[in-house]
Amino acid sequence: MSNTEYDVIVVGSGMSGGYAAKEFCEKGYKTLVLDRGEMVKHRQYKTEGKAPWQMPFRGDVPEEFKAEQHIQKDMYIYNDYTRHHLINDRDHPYEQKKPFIWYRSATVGGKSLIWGRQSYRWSKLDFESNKLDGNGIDWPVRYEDIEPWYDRVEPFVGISGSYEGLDVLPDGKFLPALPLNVVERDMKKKIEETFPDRHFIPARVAHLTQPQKQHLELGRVQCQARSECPRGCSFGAYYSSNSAALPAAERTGNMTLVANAQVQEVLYDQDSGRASGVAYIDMRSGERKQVGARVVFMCASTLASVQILLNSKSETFPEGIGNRFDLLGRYIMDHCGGGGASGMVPGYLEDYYKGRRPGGVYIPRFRNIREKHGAFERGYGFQCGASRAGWHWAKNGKGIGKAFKEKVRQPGNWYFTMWGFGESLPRYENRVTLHPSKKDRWGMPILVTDVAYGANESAMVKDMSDTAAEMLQAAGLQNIRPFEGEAPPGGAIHEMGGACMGHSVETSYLNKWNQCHDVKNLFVTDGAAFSSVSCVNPSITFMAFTARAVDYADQQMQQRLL
Amino acid sequence: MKRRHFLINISAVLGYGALVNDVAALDAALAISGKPSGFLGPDELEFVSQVSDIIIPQSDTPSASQAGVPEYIDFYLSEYLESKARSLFVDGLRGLCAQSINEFLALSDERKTEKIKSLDDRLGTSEENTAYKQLKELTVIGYYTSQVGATQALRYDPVPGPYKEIKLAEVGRAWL
Ligand SMILES: Cc1cc2nc3c(=O)[nH]c(=O)nc-3n(C[C@H](O)[C@H](O)[C@H](O)COP(=O)(O)OP(=O)(O)OC[C@H]3O[C@@H](n4cnc5c(N)ncnc54)[C@H](O)[C@@H]3O)c2cc1C
Ligand code: SF4
Repeated sequence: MSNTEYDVIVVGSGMSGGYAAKEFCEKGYKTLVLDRGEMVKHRQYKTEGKAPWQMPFRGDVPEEFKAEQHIQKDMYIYNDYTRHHLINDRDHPYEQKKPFIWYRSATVGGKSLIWGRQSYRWSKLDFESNKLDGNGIDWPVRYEDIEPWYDRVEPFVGISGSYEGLDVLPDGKFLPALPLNVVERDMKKKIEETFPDRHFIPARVAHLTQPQKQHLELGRVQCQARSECPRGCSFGAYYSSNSAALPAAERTGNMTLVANAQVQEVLYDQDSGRASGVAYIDMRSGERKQVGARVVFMCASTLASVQILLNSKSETFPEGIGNRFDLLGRYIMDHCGGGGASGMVPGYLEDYYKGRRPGGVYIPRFRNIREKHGAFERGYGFQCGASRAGWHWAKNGKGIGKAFKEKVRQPGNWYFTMWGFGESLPRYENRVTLHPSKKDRWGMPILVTDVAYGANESAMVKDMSDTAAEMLQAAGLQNIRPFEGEAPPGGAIHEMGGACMGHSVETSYLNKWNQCHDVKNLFVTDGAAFSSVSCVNPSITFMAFTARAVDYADQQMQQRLL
Repeated sequence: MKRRHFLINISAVLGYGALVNDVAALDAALAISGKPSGFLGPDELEFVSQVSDIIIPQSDTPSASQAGVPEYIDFYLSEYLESKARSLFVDGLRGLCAQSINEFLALSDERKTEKIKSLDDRLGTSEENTAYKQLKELTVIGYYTSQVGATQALRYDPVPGPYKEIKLAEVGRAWL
């Protein structure tokens, strides 16, 4: 194409887009990265290091701001230190046919800046489940296909973890694991003895416990256990696009990054049958722009990528680019969760810790691996941790005077909590569409969500809380409280699907290279590409698929096939 | 400066959507935080000060009022709470001990402590006093997140270094 301005356009600079940008730039491609968010440069984090007394409301957020973020305000990290990293819901509306919580970032770097950093490989079983139980469409990819790409991504990201040799949770390339504490070590023994099929291991988190050369070269250093990560971390001690991938891309001199650029459509060229570029709005000036490239990578996050693709209409594709079989927007999934339990651990009152450890314990999936269990398909894992109660009880606790003050000064008992994250099933009828008439302030048709959980998810969540309570019982905890919170989809912030990978154009949107079946130079490598959701956190897998797709696109471009 | 004021200011800076101004909002608020905004009158401020000191008195570490709790509460009332919630709270404070603020202030120290203790004992029961509950909460938050409370009553360490296990005796008290 003659008017091509860039080799590659990457839409979005978060977990997937940041990584795509790094890989393309390092391979020498002139890469344009467009992101809707505000610019946030590494080390320019507004609230980092602020003590609570330096915050006007000590971290609380006034109602006026909450009203502008009526969805985001319920996110567990939401407070006065982090809210500017989250989107303004009034400016970015969507419609919920059925309840769906859409948590979104407001900045360059996307959710990589605010994520929880839990990082687990998917297993063989995860890629086979759709085929085995017939839900959703068969993945065109197996664990063996993605394994080398985990090997490539993990050392760059920097993931701390232990080597366990489990089929259900493959080991990766790890930095030393964060330690289990004394309570957790004892609980591990009791739980693993009572339930030999369950493993109690250190959480695998994207924190540098022992920075390597490639981290240090980017100015990333060892984690200081502040646990103030979602504010941004100038140590670069956890992985974010802002601290790692984007600086790596930038230093090649090949990246052009434009913030406040809302991409609205991928442009389709009838004659060549290819994507010719994208159209975006400069959100500051309201000006509409078009740019061209040989290849377009969609990394705007699951639902946003689907929204843009649905809005990319042409004569050939009136229902969205490459969407000949009404598959775009279908099979929207999220992890189901909210089941778990907590309890008080008697004793260990002399034991304490220094530092706010940014990861705890993980109990990998143990349901439906070899034997069928209960009334549901697939399984779930638990994210857990033991720590001592601090002064917060005193806010609503009884007591006055010096004795009260003495008591508040001492740490309380040890508590252990476990939260389940489950694999919900891919369902054709769970979908998002564009609203026929409503648009946002920049003229983008708003998204309509029509996604719900089914009986499988309810049964799984029930099993999570029963099982959690059973394990805490076995470990000798007291005052055990099971919980079964019914969060609607979206609540786990692991949304996936909508532009699923599969074997054929009649059943799926993308082929096994994350490439649109019908538009060869269009790739989708964020969570939209996923045909199922596993039960482990997905982001490291988004990056592995992104790296693999970039490699494929590079080969095709070199052979002049793209 | 009133909260509504600085919220509006930041919206102006932004041009669209108030969020991005967040930073300006923060700076504006920081500039006034900790200074009495003059929302509570002198008697009310004295009352809040005395009650918070009954809850958190001076010991080997400073008391609530010495840590700036009354100023924090005053600031919170004027800049954080919506006007309806604010008047509810202030009305509640006035009637806290079934007598006027001035009558309370005239009591002996022992009587004041008894009054507060009986309110405190009723926390978490059906006879709980809402205004007291809120005042206690603000006192506790205000104190333990103040510089004095965080660094003297508790231990605060902005950069603790790699996580490690220790014995409680090594630090002797809870972290912030
Ligand atoms: C609080 C929290 C905790 C989490 N914890 C974990 C965890 O522990 N482990 C884990 O694996 N995952 C976790 N996640 C999820 C993880 O953050 C996401 O899976 C991941 O960031 C998704 O990557 P992405 O590249 O698809 O999207 P994002 O990282 O969200 O990036 C998308 C980017 O695209 C931009 N964009 C959107 N629309 C447009 C448009 N129209 N035009 C241009 N740009 C656009 C956005 O501004 C954004 O920068 C967590 C998320 C949150 C919020
Ligand atoms: S815990 Fe580690 S990664 Fe998080 S803010 Fe602290 S130093 Fe940074």
